Amino acid sequence: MEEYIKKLAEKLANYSEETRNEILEDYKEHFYEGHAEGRTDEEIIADLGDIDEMLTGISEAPSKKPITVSNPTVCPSGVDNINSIFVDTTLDNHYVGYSAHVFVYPSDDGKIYAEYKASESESAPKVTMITTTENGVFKITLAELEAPESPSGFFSKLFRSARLAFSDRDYGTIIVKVPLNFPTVTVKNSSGKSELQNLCVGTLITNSSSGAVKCSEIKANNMSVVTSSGSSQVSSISASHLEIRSSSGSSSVGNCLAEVMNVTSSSGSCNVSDVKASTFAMKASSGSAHANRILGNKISVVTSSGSSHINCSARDISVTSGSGYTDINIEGSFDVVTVKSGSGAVKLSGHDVIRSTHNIHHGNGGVTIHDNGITEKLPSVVNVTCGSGHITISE
Amino acid sequence: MNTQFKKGALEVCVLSQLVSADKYGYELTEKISSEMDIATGTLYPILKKLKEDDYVTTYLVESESGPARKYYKLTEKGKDYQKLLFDEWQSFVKAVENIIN
Repeated sequence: MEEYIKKLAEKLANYSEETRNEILEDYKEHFYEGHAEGRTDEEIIADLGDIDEMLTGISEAPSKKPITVSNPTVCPSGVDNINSIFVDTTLDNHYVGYSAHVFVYPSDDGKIYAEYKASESESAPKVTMITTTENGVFKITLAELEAPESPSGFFSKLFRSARLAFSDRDYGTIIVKVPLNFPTVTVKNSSGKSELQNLCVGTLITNSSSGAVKCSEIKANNMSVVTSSGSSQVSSISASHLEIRSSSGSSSVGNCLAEVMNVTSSSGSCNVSDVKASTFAMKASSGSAHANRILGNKISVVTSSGSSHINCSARDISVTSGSGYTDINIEGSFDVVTVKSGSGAVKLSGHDVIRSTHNIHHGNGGVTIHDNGITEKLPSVVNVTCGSGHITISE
Repeated sequence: MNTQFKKGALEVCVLSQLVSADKYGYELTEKISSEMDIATGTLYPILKKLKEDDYVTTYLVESESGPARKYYKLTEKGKDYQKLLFDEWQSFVKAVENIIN
């Protein structure tokens, strides 16, 4: 018993005093009770099992354990014949739910760097970073160091994913440094965080399934942020084409300058503010759409059951809604505003809105126009079609 | 067996054992290890984690001979969590049965 307890104490040395004492006390009590029932040390030790196995169950990370940082890998042949960086953290499905975080930063010496920091969690699967260069693509992936235990397929995978909230689930972090004006950067992540900052690139693509994506201070020709259920936060972007697409994740977008900008969400909400885009399109089906201070030439917003709140300025504005409520305020002058709604009510306001020619088609919802006796007519046109919702037009 | 899976399953076992009565460590581990082949030591970190997450509380009961026994008691939060895990477990097992049969 003494020997076993001593071994246990040694193995617990790197944990906090509290954890160490608590586990030691538990084990001593266990020995005491076992002895009281007439068991031998050997029996009790066999019963308690392997200490290392028990240690993997402790949620606290041992403090003095060195964090393994693999040496930064410098892209071997320089940047000259490499025109694409591809980061892919999605491993074989042995470890469902595990993922790595990906951080992408600028490089200050024109070289590409890739660095991997292992997770501090003891229970995280052991993986290593692998970099390859082929056909001008510098590819950064992860590979398992150990074969996964009992790959009981569906059963363990299902349960593992159901247990995510109670376990650490990152392999670690991949840090990539990208030179200025680099042609193409692609990040494919699953549930880990992706953060991209201060980049100037040709094409930037991030694709994440449930992990959150954060992009800020980026200049690109083409940029696309795609998530499935992960949220995306996009700010301070300058791009010719900017696309933000999510299935159920929410999108928060601010301070963007683009030629063409598309924000699409299926059930997630979209919150977009301070955008200057020649063509701006936003589509949310059941999520709500908030578009604040959008300045453009052509703006279109489509929602199905989600409500939309829009504050914009453009020549051609089109808003389509199903059952969601629509509230639009238009700043300044415009050529044409077209609003189509099914059963959702429509509220349309703006200085020039009230002074335009109104073409209104409504079902049984009724129309209220607060024109305050204004008779002045501008060349602009407001077309509103609404099924059963009420239409309100005001200044 | 898959560690994560086992951990999850043991958590339901531990919590469910505490529904009817408070138990001390050895009593709990004996009960569970009499039904399944596990290293009983692995239950202590689970108990510790449950305590940290406020699903259980502990109290000491002095015994006439030997050291005090540490008893584990379900909190209200722990009772809710046990119900949740129990339901999840039931539907999971049912789903597995439907698929494999």
